[in-house]
Amino acid sequence: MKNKKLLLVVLALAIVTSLTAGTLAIYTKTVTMTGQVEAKKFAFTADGNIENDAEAINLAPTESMDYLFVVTNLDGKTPAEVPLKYNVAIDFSKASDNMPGLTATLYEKKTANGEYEVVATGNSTITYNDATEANTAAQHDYKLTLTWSGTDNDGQTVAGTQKVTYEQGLNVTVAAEQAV
Amino acid sequence: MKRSIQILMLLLLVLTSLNAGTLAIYTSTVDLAVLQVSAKRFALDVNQGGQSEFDLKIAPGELVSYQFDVSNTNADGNVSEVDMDLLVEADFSNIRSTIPGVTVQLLLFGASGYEVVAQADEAGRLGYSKSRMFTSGEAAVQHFSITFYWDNGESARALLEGSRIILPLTLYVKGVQHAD
Repeated sequence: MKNKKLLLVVLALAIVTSLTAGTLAIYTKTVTMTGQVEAKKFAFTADGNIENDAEAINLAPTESMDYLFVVTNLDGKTPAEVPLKYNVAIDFSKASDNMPGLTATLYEKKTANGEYEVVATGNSTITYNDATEANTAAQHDYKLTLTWSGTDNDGQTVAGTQKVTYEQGLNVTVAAEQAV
Repeated sequence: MKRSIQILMLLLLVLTSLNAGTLAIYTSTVDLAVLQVSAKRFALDVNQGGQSEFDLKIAPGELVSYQFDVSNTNADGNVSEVDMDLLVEADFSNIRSTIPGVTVQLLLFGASGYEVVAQADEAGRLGYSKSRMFTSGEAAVQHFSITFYWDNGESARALLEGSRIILPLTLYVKGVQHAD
């Protein structure tokens, strides 16, 4: 019995001693690697103006006016490093409500021949989607043509006689986001 | 029981993953244009005087006239923003058939005073049109006179033996936006 107790005490001492006496030396080596994390560039611009530097769209029946705008994925000359998808939202519903026959046509200049081609039409709103590639400079030229046509002579005459005017008659919004 | 707990846990996992949010991406929105849209003003005003001036009384051998002014401005003095054609039309067939020997002419005031620009035909129809009588943005007034001359002939004397004759008189002045 005494021997067994003694044996347990010795074993406990051996464990405690091994835990507190430190570890054996071994080879170690640490290699420090430094680098950087950089956010990829996001660039998107849109700008435009009415033809002939007009400040407003003022139409009579049978007439048209153009709003020209450009969308790019550039910051200066540096293109975005991520692919973008963007949406062009055009709303002229307030004006078209009281200018019967008012329509809009969205054209995009195709780089192949440099001419504008119709990409969307509408009589109160237009929505159009397009995209740009990463690391490739892109400039998309658009022309929005508002035309007042139609056969409602009475309605158009009322609008002209009243000189209907809408301060926010045409809203063009371009929203871009990283394509994932 | 265990199976139902497993399904419940799985459902919780799915819901948690859905509600945990989406990954951030680059986005940009450009309010490109908020433009005023308006209808070009269309204005046509006819100063036709009082009703008594248009109630004409005529006897054989007399010349009576009715004068009216046409302008491309509205009551507030605002000028029409479109070129305008002008049409003056009337149907005097009942006068021609009831009072034989009446000549109806439309005169326009020009550099040499009033000049005849139209005359009612044998059927009594009178029509006058002038393209671009008014220019957009330029206020102008055109002075017209319509004259009735009753020839003092045999037919007129024969008619005088009858009762008093009162005939309606209607004249249409129409402005139309000029379109090429």
